[in-house]
Amino acid sequence: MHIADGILSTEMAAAADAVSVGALYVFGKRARTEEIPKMGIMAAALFVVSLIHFPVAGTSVHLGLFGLAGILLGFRAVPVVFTALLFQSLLFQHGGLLSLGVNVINMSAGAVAAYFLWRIRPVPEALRAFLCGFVGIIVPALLMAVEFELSGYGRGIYYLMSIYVIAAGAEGILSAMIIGFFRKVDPRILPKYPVIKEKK
Amino acid sequence: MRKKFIWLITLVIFWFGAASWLYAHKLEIKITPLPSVVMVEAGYSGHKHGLSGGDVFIYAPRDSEKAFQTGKTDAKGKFAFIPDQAGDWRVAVDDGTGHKSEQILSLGEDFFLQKPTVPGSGESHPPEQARDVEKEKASKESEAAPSQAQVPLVWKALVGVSLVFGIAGILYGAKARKKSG
Repeated sequence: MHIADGILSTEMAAAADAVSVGALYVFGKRARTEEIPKMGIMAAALFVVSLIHFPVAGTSVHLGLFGLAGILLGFRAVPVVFTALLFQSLLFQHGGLLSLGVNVINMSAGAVAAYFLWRIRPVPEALRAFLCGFVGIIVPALLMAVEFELSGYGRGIYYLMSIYVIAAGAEGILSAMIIGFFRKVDPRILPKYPVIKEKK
Repeated sequence: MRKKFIWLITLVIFWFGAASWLYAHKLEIKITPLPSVVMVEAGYSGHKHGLSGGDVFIYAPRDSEKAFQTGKTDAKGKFAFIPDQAGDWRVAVDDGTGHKSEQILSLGEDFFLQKPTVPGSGESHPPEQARDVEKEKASKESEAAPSQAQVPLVWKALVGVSLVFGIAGILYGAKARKKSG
């Protein structure tokens, strides 16, 4: 899912870099002292988890944990995703440095979507956790496909979505298991966000 | 105390469990020079099957800009090309999702003097005449200092995790000091 350098236009990549650095500043600056250790652990987890992969239809997809980051950190997931992707790019060559901004926006969008989904309380927690994990992969994959189309690569990339649906399903199950584990072991790990309820 | 113990056990299991997977996601290529043909095999380390549909770029000696040949790996991750001159051939494979692997293959004049093998004829030619320059270069470099490609993935992962924790620690310290001061 990481976009390498030279695939998207330089203008698009540079604009995305500027936006991602701005988001890093805005959401990182407001982080409270007690949030930082959790952000550090989550960034390390995101960084390493991209190495855990499974084969799907002749290719290989890896975990992302963007949905889990969104659940646990909300908008603080943006600087966490930025840090994890930066080191993935530098150490594993997953995605390029110039296209880092695009990758950060794509994957942070998945985390932020998961954050909003997590706040819809009438839905059971396990199902919400599953859906958060699912959108944490599907949203970045969709954005990537749109960016490829905008850059003139056609719509072929949309066919890859079926692979990402499988990956998103696996991620959803993993997220549900992790949230269930946190609920059982120490519910204080799960943040208490303002609830989004349906208007009656 | 019990909760802390459970956390510690979980962390240890995750860490060692993950470590066994760490080597598995790297895209690797194997180049086999056969008489008149060079075969490229691409696949992820730790996987038995090859990378199907991977983009292959072949660059002839002294022309690093324009590709001599491009194409895609077959269902088993294989791709073959016919070199037309001796020298250093650069072979790059990209899976289209950010993973890329590159190798340089040095072909001598003797490579072109061999007769093609007829399948079933019983003739065989050893592929040793083509040296893998990358490996030779890498082994020479390793005597001086390890290059990035040689550093095992697990070490890179440890370096990355250490850096992330280090940054978080510094930020935490700075914020805490600012708060108390």
